[in-house]
Amino acid sequence: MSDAVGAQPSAAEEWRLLLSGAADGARNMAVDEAIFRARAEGLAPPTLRLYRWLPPAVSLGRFQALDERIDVAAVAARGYGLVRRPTGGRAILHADELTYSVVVREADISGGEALMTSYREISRGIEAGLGYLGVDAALGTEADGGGRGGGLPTICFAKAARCDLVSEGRKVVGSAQTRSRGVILQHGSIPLTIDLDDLLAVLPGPTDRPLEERRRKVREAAVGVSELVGRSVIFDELAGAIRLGFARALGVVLRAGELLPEEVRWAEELTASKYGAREWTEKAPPRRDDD
Amino acid sequence: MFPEDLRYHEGHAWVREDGEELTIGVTQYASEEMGEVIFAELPEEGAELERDEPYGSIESAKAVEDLVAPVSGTVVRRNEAVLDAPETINDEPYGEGWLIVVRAEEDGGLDSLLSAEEYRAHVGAPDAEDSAEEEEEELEEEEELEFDEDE
Repeated sequence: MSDAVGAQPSAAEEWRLLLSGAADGARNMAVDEAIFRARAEGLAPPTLRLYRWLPPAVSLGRFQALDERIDVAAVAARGYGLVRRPTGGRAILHADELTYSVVVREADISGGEALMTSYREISRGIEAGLGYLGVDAALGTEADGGGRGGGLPTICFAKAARCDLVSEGRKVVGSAQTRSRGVILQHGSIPLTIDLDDLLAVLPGPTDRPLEERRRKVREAAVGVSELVGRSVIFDELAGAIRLGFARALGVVLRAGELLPEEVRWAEELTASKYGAREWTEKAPPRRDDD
Repeated sequence: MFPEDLRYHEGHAWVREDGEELTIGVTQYASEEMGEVIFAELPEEGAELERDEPYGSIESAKAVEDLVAPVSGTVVRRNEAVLDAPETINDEPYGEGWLIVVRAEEDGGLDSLLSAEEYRAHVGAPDAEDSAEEEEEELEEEEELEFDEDE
């Protein structure tokens, strides 16, 4: 839980930028957690990491049930990965997208001690980045994407929440956060394009409804950056824009860096013992899932 | 918002003393800050709690956060009902939304918990509580009592 007191937040001036490239799901989640741990121990500076997924993967929310709403056979048939995130929320297919992660102490960002203000602050950086591409995005409201109970349950991108960035009424960035010991990990998915057939094959949604209806629901609720810009935007272009926007909006200097030796070691350990392990991925919550 | 008969921990836990047993929950301030709680992971009976250390997790609309132990001790029981209906933590943070009951260690940190006034100051809430809000709370309590009687 966030701690509401402490020193007045002071903007950290220099952040580390990690351009991690592509990795599989287990490795990607393990690296995020390794950075989180390194920030908690005071080893790592505030960090913005930009990465992608190879092979594409479905990620599940921390406490989401792995049930019939995720077509594990279709995931395997495509050679995609399956991983459980350390953060909450619903399932996401990470395919043609840019993923960002931000790891900071609460005091590193303005309003960091409170959940919504920290989302707002980090989102300002992403918003500014999208702005460089001409995309006008803003934090959503509960009403976007159908709000509570609307959209397609299970699929993260079929439902926008007040922590997601929405453009022209459709969700373009889906983010999730975890906090522990005054450290925040926020990561989010920014699709360049959305392949509806692929998405609905692995995350079919309520199969009692016709496929065409489910396609329409997702199309109305979510959008990729390329469609918003009106031309094909590739990963490197979006990464460059996010990098610029983030530095400008948060008033920080992003210095390109590498993982620390401790982070490299922890990431390897976490890949093997946690995120790459079936026990973690298939772990059923002790009680009900929200949907 | 800050019941006087409870004691508080900086990690937004409240503690109610009942003989040797301590009931622990999440403060209303924190439950409002988190938004709709959709999942709670609580330790089982017999688990050991260490003051200031995470003992469970809570997932709200968009974040997974630690539950931080206000005292050191042993879990006597947990609120099974709240696992099935975690939104109770939002609806009744000081009542049906309690989380666990613990038996504190002798030097478990009970004495260093905050008073309602200290916790209020800690979260930066105004000194003079909005009287309308308090009246509303009292009204709600009365309604609950009536509801209980109906049952």
